[in-house]
Amino acid sequence: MPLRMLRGSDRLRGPEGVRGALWRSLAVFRLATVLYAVVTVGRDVGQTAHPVNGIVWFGVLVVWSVVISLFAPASDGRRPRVRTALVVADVAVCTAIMMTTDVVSPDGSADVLPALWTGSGVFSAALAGGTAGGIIGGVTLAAASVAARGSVDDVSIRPAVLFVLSGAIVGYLSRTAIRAEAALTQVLAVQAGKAERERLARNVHDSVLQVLSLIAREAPRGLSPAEVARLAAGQESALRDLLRTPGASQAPVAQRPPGRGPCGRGHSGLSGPAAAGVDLGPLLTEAARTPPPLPQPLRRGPVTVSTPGAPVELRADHAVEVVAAVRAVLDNVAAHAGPGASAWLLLEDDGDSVAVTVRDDGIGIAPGRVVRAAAEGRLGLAVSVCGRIRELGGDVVITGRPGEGTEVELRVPR
Amino acid sequence: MSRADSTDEVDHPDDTGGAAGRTTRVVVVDDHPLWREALSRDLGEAGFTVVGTAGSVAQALRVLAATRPDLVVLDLGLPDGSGVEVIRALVGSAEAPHPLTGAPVSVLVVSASGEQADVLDAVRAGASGYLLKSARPEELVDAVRRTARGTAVFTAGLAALVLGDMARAARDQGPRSEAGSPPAPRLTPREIEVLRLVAKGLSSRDAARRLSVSHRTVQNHVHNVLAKLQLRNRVELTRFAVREGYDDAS
Repeated sequence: MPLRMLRGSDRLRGPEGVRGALWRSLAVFRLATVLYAVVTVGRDVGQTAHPVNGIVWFGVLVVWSVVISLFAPASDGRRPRVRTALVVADVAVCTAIMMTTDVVSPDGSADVLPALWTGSGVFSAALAGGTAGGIIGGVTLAAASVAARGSVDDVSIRPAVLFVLSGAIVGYLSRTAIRAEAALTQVLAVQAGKAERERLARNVHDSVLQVLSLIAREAPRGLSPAEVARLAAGQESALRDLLRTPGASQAPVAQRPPGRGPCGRGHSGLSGPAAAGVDLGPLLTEAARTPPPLPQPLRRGPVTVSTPGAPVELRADHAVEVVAAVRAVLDNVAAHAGPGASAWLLLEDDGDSVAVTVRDDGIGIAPGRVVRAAAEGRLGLAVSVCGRIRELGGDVVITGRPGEGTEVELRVPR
Repeated sequence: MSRADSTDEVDHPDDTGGAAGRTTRVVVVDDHPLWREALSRDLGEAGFTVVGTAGSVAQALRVLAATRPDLVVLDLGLPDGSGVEVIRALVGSAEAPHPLTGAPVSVLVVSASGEQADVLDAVRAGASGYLLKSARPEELVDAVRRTARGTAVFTAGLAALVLGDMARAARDQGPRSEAGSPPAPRLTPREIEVLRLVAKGLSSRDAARRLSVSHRTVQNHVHNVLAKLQLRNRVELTRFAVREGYDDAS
């Protein structure tokens, strides 16, 4: 299934978007400050009163830097609780490190050096909580810095002021960046919606033009009124479907990859994150409009699509499968229901599940025929429909009697 | 359930005159002159009397007040507003028969595109049927005839819209119900069954055969669905008013 992830801004921002980029730059900051602390203070660790404590202190510094750098970017945005817990732990670890700097610098003269590393606690609070989070983190570490020094003087005040100020500034900037990213995403979705609509419009307008010129050319030579009526009706319903297709207002939107398969069918036209919801209604409307593949000798009658009047959202990857299954059912109608059989497509939203029913008024099927056909090796409906839907945890009910048409109900859970 | 009964009487007159010896008087409201003429001609040939036509909401209100027809064939997309406004003015509230025509009027909505929200609004406001303009002329005339008889005209598309609307309402409302306000009517399992068959394109005759009931029974179910939809509209309006009232008092 060629599901192409085509989020336009991906190239700009890598995984997890702006949040991920911010957390990664914080990881770089941690790495640099760990190295700085090791180079400037670490080499003297052997000369302190308790070298083992000093080594443990540096161990905590390094291990915690690695842990938070690995887990914070992934949890932000997806698992806010984990993120909050990590950030609180980060501030706590940084405070603890700050309070115990005397382990590595007993004379207290070098406490500004590890203080640089503890700034990362302020920054992670700022990334998680914006300006307010940054200020809270900054005040916590400022208090820790004063407490570690034991007195309020130049040496303890300078880092304290820096903590609070940088927390506020980083928090504000990170929120601004995230807002800008959201605005960009929205603009891109609107553009994608417009592009999709334009693509549909081009197809429809082109076919309307062709039909109009056909009528203009052939009518004087005696094109039958019935044929004119049929041509006009076909274009009319295509135009109406176009009006119903959501335009820029709805996102995410279906997009057809430029490289279509050899037969141009059965391929999903979907892009975007698989977990995001897409509206099944327009997708099914388009599937119903697509004519059956050429080898089908029969002309399928009209397909009426009925939807509940509100978007029916389904995970994009599931929607792809459902649309493909519905196409298979419609192709089956064209192949087996008899010439000119009409079809009706009903989309229902039950909250927990989504149901699509395709009914035709064709020649119908004998009970058990689908099962028999599968047993004989003709797998069409059994595989392309039942297989797909069961894969999604759904089920398929096929009913029909000879002479009374066929009804295929596909139901998939949300 | 006197409320429901009175709703029925007002919104679904049993007879709009067709059987009483005179022809049904129809007004066609549509902004497209060609369409207006074609439809008027078809209806005239089918034995209806087209007493007026209009191309806008304002014009429709004037024509309707002047001609007092039995039935209105109404387009929703009018240049100066939605056809829904015409229905609201026509049908009025259940308590007060509409002031415009002085007699109940049946409304058949014939719309060019499936503006789904508008269609639902129109039916909830009191239209008794809905058809797409792409319907064949004989289908259209038949729908007008059924509307004149007081029968609901339910297409597959409308049935699906109503099903969706009722399902959403049931989900939103959930098990809790607001104290002091009448419960919004819900569809019975049988009504949902009938509606689903209609939404799958079955005619009421085929649906009756499928359910092994009479044609008349299916029509009654459809009729009740329509009544509930329109009643729910009013219940919601009442709730809204009650809520606003409390807000003012506090």
